[in-house]
Amino acid sequence: MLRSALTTLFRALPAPVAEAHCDGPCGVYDPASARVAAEAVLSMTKKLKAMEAPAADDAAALAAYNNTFGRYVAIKEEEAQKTKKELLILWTDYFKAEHLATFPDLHDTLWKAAKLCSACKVNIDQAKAEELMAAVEKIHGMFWQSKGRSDAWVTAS
Amino acid sequence: MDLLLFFFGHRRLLKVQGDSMLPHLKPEDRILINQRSRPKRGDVVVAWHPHKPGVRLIKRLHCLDANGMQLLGDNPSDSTDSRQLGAIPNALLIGVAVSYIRKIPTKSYATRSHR
Repeated sequence: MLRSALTTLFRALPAPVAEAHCDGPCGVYDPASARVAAEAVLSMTKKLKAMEAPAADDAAALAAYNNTFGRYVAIKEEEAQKTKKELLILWTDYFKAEHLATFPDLHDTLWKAAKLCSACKVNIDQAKAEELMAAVEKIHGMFWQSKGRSDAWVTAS
Repeated sequence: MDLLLFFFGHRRLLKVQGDSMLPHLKPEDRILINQRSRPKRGDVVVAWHPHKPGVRLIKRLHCLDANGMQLLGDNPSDSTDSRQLGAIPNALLIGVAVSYIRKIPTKSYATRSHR
């Protein structure tokens, strides 16, 4: 009770800011982070689709199945959110207005890619996961082209 | 004890902003710092930014030597620290974090992250 009251009091007091963010323009961006996360989404989607439910009267097998299924879904959810976060960082922090001249569909591409991340969370849909990978590959191309480089698209799996 | 010392002016209250100290410190957490304490390796410390006047950095002290303090964020992918800034001169130290007042989790946060 006292602790809770003190916490509320301290949180209400004015406090100067101590910065714990990427406070300098470090300028280190790489679509590889999004690619790794998107690959994990595709991988988990494939694993989920490949799972076969055991017989309803086999309690132990059913428990193991449910546990594995739950884990795969949780990882898919987490990695899709990570993909979205990484894409949004590229969209809002890396890409600038001048890139629109070279890539007029930049906004549309990133917006649709972010939407695909959500679709991959909502469903167990391999086609959507593959679309997400294709979108990330397109963004990878835009990113490296904007830097005047041509890094090969290489996947881990 | 630190809360009491705050009211006697021996501790300073600061608010955390940013993700570089996740998972230890979240944005909006409050900390109390001791401005008279000597930091040791592993302490969370607050220091003035070497290139941005008036900006306070909160990081973990990785090591302390003749060149100054090597300060690193707990969440390196979201941190600008001694990897980019180099050693931070000891004179820029403001204080050592001694107490944490965590942000109370809200339902909306959980809902949002699972959308």
